[in-house]
Amino acid sequence: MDNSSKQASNFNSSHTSSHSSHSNHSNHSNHSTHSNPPINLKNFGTPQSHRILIDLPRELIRLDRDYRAGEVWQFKSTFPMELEGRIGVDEFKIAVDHINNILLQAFNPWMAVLDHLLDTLSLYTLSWFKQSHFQKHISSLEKSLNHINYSSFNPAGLNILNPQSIAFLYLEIEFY
Amino acid sequence: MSLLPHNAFYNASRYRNSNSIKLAGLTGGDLDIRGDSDGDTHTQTTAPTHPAISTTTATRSLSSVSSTPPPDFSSSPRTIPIRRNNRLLRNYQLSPANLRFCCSGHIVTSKDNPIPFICSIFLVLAIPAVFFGRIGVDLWYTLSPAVPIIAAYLTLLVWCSMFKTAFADPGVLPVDIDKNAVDTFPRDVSLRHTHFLSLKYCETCHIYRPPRASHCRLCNSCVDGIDHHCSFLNICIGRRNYPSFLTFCGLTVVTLAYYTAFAAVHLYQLTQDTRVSTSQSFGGALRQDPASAVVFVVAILFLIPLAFLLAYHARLTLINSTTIEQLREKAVDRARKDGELGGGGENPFVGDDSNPFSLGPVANVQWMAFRPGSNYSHARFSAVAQRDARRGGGGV
Repeated sequence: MDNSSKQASNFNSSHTSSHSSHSNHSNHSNHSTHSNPPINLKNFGTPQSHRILIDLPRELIRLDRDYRAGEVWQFKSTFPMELEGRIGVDEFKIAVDHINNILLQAFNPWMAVLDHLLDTLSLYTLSWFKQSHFQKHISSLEKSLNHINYSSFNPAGLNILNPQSIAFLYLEIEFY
Repeated sequence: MSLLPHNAFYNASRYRNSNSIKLAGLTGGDLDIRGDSDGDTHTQTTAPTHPAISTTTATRSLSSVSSTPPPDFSSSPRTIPIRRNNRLLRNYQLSPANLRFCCSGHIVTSKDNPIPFICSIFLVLAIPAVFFGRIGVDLWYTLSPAVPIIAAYLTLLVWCSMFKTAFADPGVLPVDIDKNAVDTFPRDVSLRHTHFLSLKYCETCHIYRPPRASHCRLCNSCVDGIDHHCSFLNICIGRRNYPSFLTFCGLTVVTLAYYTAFAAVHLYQLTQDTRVSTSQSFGGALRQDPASAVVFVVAILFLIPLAFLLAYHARLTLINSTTIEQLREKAVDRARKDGELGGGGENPFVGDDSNPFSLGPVANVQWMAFRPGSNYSHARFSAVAQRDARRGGGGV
């Protein structure tokens, strides 16, 4: 992987913000954001030029949280302009709605009541042996993301990242 | 380039590009997205081995979204563990939070003054010790073995709830998510179409805090769904430990009431002719077992403030609010009364009287007292720290 450092530097210098006007969170030098113009759209609308999951993505598109349903973790399914030409609006909406639906199921209140009561009555030992309803659905999210990425997003040069690492505050889509 | 882990999958993506062009054509996209970068010719050789290719030669439609990936396929970037001095690091070792960690990050407590916490641990151990040592043994014979057995279960529940509340991650949010934000102005979001909230940027954690999260100065971290920083448990009460905190408060009140009641029963029995005592005056009973009187008085002394605390939190649970929001609301009300804040309406908590998060009593209790995902941790302090394998550099 001799080109990894080159890719990294390319990623650092050309990172932009996107839909949510925010960029990647890790390992960036701060001065680049201040010296460069913050909005750089030169990569969008171009064909895929990097290899998915092997190279660093050229851009990172962030979908904001959607609070219209309350405090339940949901993501906005508004189609970001940056994805135009890569993926269809319907395909995008199906994917995001699917992710939102999994999260909505994970937040089933009665299952949470059941899990908490059983856990308390068993002196908090039940959670050592049994996954809660919430955890089951959150781990099924990983599988669904694999599915969505494999069948529709990766062929278009995009990759949805698992939002677990950023506390479900954004849904990040890598743009290669 | 022989060590590419995603070879077959990458081939699929190259092949499928030609299909997504058709889709782009259908949806009105006029861009040619079939871009070929240098150095990808090697991938063509293994392409026919991919199982999904034969199914995608036809014109792609939305129904073909249901092609299943191979079982070992993962769309998460490969990560490698972070090492320092050739030892694996855990997430807590990289956390800037002002927290003390124990048992490789499984036990979390604040670095604040621990004396109130030690006092509450002492009380939680001492009152049951006296109860079981003096009252429990007598009541086992004179009344029923069920009395100390139920007391033992209640006490264990209190201890476990206290342990879980005090030593678990309260809902610490990861840092540096919005580190390179273009600006740090508050962002307005609409909540349930009826309310507007502004999400503030945390200068310390470099994140836009989600609604109801706040930065705790004592823990030096943003805590999701924070209620308050509890000095008696030496940790913030947040999204993850509010349910067990409520359980702890409720069960402590119940257990103290149980102790009080049976301490009184025990004192009464000592004046009667039983297996452990002969018929005597109340003063004689007190002289025979002053511990019962001590348990009675101490339990009542702690029962009263705890019952008020429980009532306060029961009200908060019913209206889906938190201590911090109540204090904020009170401060804003006072400022308005003093005429410092004209008009109102710029604060989401004073625009109208209703709480924007309230969902109705039943749903409020479900959300506050049995919060879905209260076992799920964002920070995962005990997990081995990982970094993206695609980035250069071996250190932290």
